[in-house]
Amino acid sequence: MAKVEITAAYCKGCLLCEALCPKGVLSLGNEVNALGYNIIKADDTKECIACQQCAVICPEGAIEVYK
Amino acid sequence: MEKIYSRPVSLNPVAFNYCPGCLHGTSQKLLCDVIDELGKQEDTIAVMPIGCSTMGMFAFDFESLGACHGRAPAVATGVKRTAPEKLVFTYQGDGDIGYIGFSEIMHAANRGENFTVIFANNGTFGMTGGQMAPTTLIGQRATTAPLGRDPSYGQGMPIHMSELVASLPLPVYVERCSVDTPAHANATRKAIKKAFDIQLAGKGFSFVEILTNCPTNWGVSPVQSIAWIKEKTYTEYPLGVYKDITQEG
Ligand SMILES: Cc1ncc(C[n+]2csc(CCOP(=O)(O)OP(=O)(O)O)c2C)c(N)n1
Ligand code: SF4
Ligand SMILES: [Mg+2]
Repeated sequence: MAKVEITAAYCKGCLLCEALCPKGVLSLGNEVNALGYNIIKADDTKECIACQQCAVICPEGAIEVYK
Repeated sequence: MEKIYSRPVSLNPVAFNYCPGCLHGTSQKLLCDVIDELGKQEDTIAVMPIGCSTMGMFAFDFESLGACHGRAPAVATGVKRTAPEKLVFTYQGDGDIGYIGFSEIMHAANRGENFTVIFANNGTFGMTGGQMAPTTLIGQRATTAPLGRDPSYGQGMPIHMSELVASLPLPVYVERCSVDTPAHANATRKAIKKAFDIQLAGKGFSFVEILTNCPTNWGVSPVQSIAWIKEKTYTEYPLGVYKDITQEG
């Protein structure tokens, strides 16, 4: 059991995380944040393995990981 | 479930002022991670340059001040000499460190000042709209090199700051890192930690270059900018430890 939590206020939809996730958990969603960016969303049906690749690269510290 | 990756506490609860995918954010987040790890949030003074990275000071939840363009190593010299118990670092871009502030960095390094320089090399003047930097790659287009940087056209060769600083006798530790992959980012975090440990032990000058990006002025997407670093930047600027006298007996 693992999951990522995204803080909408920080995300700028740069998609560096999407390119790194080995399980295809992350993709651009329809939600737009206060900065005006379309933000990333996590797909609960995909299996997060807590590898933290997305969180380490995220330039905004918008992703936190639970295991 | 237990949280295994947290946003650093020494980072304010705000987004950085950077463009989407700008690795200044990743680099400065790593700095905050190390400051948290060392428990130095109350004892750190960042001396910020002029450039995009100046805006890190709005995100850092510790003391920071802004120096005139290129002068951060001179200001940090004064800060560290008057407050030797503080953890003092500069965070400078390539235009700041390699052009206008070339003298300040070389002399601070040559004096072996006991602070840390973090140098973010993105090969362009990000803030002012993509003019040629000292580190711009040969053939790389810039607003002031519209056909690509050409040494035979009087535009000079890319400057290698880590190698230059490492050629001086007094710097203790010089490493070139990258934040293009999570593994490299973790290695950068270790390098920053090592540099700060050297400073806190009073051993002298430490310099960590980080290869970063500027998707906006490179004219590519953030994901494409990662491929650019791998394909082009590494060739000109090899990663590695250029000096480490903590290892030399
Ligand atoms: C004395 C002075 N000269 C010129 C400028 C204009 N200026 C602002 S930022 C900058 C270049 C920044 O480039 P770099 O250091 O590479 O930082 P980046 O924005 O790429 O992170 C320049 C030339 C200035 N602010 N002050
Ligand atoms: S202009 Fe370039 S260096 Fe500046 S914030 Fe944008 S991507 Fe980063
Ligand atoms: Mg630059």
